[in-house]
Formats: sequence, C-alpha cells, structure tokens
Amino acid sequence: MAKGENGNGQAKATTTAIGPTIVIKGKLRSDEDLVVKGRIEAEIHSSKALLVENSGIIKANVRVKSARISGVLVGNITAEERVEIAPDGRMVGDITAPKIIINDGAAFRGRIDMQNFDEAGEGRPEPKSEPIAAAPKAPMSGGDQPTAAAAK
Amino acid sequence: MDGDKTATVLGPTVEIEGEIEGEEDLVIQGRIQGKIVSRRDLTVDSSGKVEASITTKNLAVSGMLTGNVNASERVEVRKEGKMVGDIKAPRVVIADGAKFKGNIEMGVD
Repeated sequence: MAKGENGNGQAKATTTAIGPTIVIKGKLRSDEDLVVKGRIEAEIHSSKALLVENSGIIKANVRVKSARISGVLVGNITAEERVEIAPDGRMVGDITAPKIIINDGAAFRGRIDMQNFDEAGEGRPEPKSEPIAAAPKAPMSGGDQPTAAAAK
Repeated sequence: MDGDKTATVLGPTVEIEGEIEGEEDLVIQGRIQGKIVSRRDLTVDSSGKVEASITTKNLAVSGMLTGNVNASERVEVRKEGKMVGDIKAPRVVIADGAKFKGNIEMGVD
C-alpha cells in the first residue's frame, strides 16, 4: 500500500528473509515477499508471497497472496492465489485458496476449500449500463419553454 | 556460507507486533512494536520505526527507536537516528546530529 514510503535508494529487494535463528511471536504484516527459515508464531498478513523454507516453522494463521511450504506450517491459510505444499512440506490446518497444490511426498492434514466453485457458480452481476436519470439537463427544445416563448 | 554471517533484514513494509528473538544480525527497515531479543547486532535502518524494549549485543539506530535498550557491548545512535528511552551499555555513542532523550548508564555489570 504505502510503497512510495521507501524513498531511500536502497535495494529494491522486495523480499524479507527471516533467518533460521529468528523467532517471532505476535503479529506480522507485510507488503513484500517473505521467506521464512526461522520460527514464526505470529499471525501473518501479507499482500505478497510467503515461502516457508525447509528450516522454517510457522504456527499461526496466515493470510497471503500465495504460499509455498517446504517447511512446517500449523495453522490455517487463506491465499488469494495459490497454496503449494512442496514434497518436503508438512502442514496441519485448513487451506482456502483458488488454487491448491499438494506435491507427492507432502504431509497434510486439514480441510481444503478451493473457493472457485462458488465463484464459477455465481458469475458476476453485470453492472447496469446507465442510470435512468441521465437527462436532467435536457437540450432546450423551444416549444417546451412556455415562459420564454411568451416573453416575445 | 557457514551460517556465521547470516542476517535477517525485515523490509520496509514489514510490521510486527509482538516478540522477536534471534541469534543472527537483524536489520529493521519496517515497523516493530513489542520486544526484541538478539544475541548479535541489531540495526534500525533509517526507514525503521521501532517501539520496543531491546536486549542485544550491539545496536545501531539510524531510524526511530522508542524504548529501553540493554546492550552487552555497544549502542550507537547515528546522526540521522532518533531515540527516546534509556540505554544501558558499556559503550554508548551518540553521533553529531542524532536526537536522543533518556537516561544512559554505562555502569559495570
């Protein structure tokens, strides 16, 4: 959102990598990609991708654009785009995302909801083209103006 | 390569409310609220805004820090840094241009 904030010409690196010895507890928000090699026990809200590496452990609910899990995730994920559990990933929790991939070898226990079933069923309500009151400033058609005509 | 010089950089859009603990260098460019415990170097970059109580080895502040710091080696408030809070560390540097409000204790442990 407030991307312009980062005015200093520093690396455009839009990735934050959380190292293997780091432990975070609480709440985490971000608008950049997150690579987790450490341990996070914090609700994650990100508008970008989440990558849980082999050494990464997440114990919390997660809301992201997309996620790939090669480590461990215990908690529920809601992703706007996709969730993938890599062959070495382990996850316990529910996944909600339009696209979900569970690779051969991955361990998973939980519920999966690929919302696109709903979306496909509903279809978009088409916006009505124009409101009716489109002509308040009608062009003057002489005859309709009794007063103006009478003045002559 | 040997895992000795790993650093974690928490980018400018990252906001954390809670606790961070680590045994590697930590650079903060975003916002942290809560508590930080590090056994290595901690840097609050110029875009960083931290409201936390901090325990670390070394601390350098170029951004904004509110909270008390307990460092086992050194604390430096750099020229563009702002800090409000108490510092307890054997070595404390406040650079020309830095803003600071709080107590400093360089006592012996």
